[in-house]
Amino acid sequence: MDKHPKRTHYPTYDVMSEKNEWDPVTQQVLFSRIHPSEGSILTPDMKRTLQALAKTLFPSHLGEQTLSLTMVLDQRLTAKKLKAFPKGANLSKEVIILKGLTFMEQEAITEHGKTFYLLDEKKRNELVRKWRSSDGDPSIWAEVHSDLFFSTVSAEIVKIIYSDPAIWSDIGYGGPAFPRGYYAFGPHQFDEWEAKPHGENLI
Amino acid sequence: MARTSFDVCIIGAGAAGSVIAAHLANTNLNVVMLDAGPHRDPEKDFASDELEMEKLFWDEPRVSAGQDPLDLHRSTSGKGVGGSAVHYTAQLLRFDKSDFRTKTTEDIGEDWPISYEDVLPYYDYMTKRLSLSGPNRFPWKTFGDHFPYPAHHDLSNNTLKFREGLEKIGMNHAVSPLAILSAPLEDRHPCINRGFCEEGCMPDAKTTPLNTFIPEALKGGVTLLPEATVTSLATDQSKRVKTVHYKLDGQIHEIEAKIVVLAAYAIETPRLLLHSRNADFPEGLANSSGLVGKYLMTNTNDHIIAKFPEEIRMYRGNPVQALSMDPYLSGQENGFKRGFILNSYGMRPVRLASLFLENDETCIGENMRMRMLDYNHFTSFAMLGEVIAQASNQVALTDQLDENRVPIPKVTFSYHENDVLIREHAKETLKSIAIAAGGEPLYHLRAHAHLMGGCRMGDDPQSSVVNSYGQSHDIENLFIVGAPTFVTAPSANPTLTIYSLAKRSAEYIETFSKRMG
Repeated sequence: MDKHPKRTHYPTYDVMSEKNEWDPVTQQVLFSRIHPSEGSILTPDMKRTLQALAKTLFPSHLGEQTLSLTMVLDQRLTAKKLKAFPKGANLSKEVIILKGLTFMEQEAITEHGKTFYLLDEKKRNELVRKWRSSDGDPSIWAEVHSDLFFSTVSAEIVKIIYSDPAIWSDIGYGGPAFPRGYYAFGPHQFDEWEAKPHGENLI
Repeated sequence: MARTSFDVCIIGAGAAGSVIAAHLANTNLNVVMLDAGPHRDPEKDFASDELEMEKLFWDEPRVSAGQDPLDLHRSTSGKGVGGSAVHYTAQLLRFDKSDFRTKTTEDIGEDWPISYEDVLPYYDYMTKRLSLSGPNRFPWKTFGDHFPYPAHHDLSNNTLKFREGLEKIGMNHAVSPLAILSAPLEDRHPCINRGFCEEGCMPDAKTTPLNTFIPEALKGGVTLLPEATVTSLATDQSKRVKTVHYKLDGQIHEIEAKIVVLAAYAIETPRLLLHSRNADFPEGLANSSGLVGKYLMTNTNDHIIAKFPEEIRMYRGNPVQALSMDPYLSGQENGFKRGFILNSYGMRPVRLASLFLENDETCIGENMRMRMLDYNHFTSFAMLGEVIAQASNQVALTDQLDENRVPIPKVTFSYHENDVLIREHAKETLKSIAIAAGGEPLYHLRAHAHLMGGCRMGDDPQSSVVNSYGQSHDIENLFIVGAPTFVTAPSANPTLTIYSLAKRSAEYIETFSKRMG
């Protein structure tokens, strides 16, 4: 974490310490996200590839995360949450992600003789840079262009990362607020259960 | 397969369909209403969570193409009884008089076949029926007046900064007229400022079809069929629409109806009409004009994210709390047509991070993390801009079939040069508000909201699909209601006009049914 140029403003805030104040439905939703049941769509290889990809795309966040990104994505795929097509595409997000993970493996093996998740950080970064700018091997990325895969998978990863209570704590987000709501309004007024205003801004 | 018959079959239980159902429930007509999504209970089926509540958006496949492909799965959609009005921000504004006459007043777009005065009695009715809250002295009275509930008083820091900036640059500002209770109403409690309006209101303080028109319809005997997806309409020998085919529990069923009301919003409505083509209607139902699916519109809805030295915490309170309507017709003085409105518009983390990525593909990893660590110091101010109707912006069918064997729709969209000018002007205005309030504008996030058009109303059957009551020019017992019938896409939020015009259509349908006998 020391390598990051910026730290959280709220090092002691833990949004989950307030979970008993949340309504039962929201508690259950968060429990299922933190302890996801096994999905049935991603293969073990795909999960390893996805995990390695997420580390390459979002290295800092993953160090601070509590969710299993691959488990949550698999859960969402299994629950048919990714049926819609991304803008400009005529394939579902599910198909794009599944094919993209397969193609990543194919090109990593073709180029380096090793599966993506076994490559070192430098080689992973080089491949990801290439794929994101649409330079994937056209014989491999014919059905799903690599830039479409990356914009689709990145959007899904971002949603999951910012649905993680640990990340909410880092950014000082109050999280679920039913049934209690917010009552303190006016400049510098916050409810006592929220993150304490950080030092330099206290009046 | 079940085969049943009703006097009226309403397809879609959103803002428009539910108003029709509630009105007809008080007649002696036998009415059925179908919706593709479930009938949810806010307390049991909603959660205070962005990811979970994505289920309120339409999630079926749609191809989005053109130079500016639209997001067809968020505020432009809804799935479930209540439709997109379940997740709206509930800022309910009337349109301006000029909105109905843009061709005459500014030589752009097209005139509606009705005037502000035609809609006014329905605006007045809905203001009361929806228990709107708002200021006792609203600076722009044509857009809203005589609100039965007081304006909301608990304003977030995001809103206070927005109003401070507007005040300093000499613009009018006010608390928004909202369909959110500011005081108790019967068993419902006022807003607790939870902030998750766009995820569905668990405390049920937001007024939606789920706590108004749907219960009224059910009490009056309307049959509601949730999770029933209509797959096609069929006409009879007299060229009237007669049969509605729908899928429920994995099987296709039929409803025969004397009147069919299509209230399925701006994509599914033209999709169903085009897909239901037959020998008598080879180009699709109600499509002798060739305009079914054409002139699709949205509203631009860009945000300026500014950073302040002090903590703002934009997640607190309902997202949209205050507005300025001063720039509504600002184009006349600034080299473009029509204009925009301004709002304070708080976002929760998933939405903000997603917009960061959509607008800047390099915003991943450390870049995203660095931005989001300052989340609590950001304000978010937004514009809602008018979008000009263009025939090339349209809904058509692809060759791909969905799981019900209905062709997947293709939506083609590109912004008009006037839309771009509005966005640019609004961007500078938003930046100046942020600076005046003491903030540093950092990010301009492009987005859009709402869909309108696709089955525009008019008096001429050659240049419109329906008359001002939503009645098809081609098929007299087929009605199309809601946003698809809009001729222009004003910058005032559309839903109050959707509710109001639906009430006007409902009265007409009641009279029409008596005439039919």
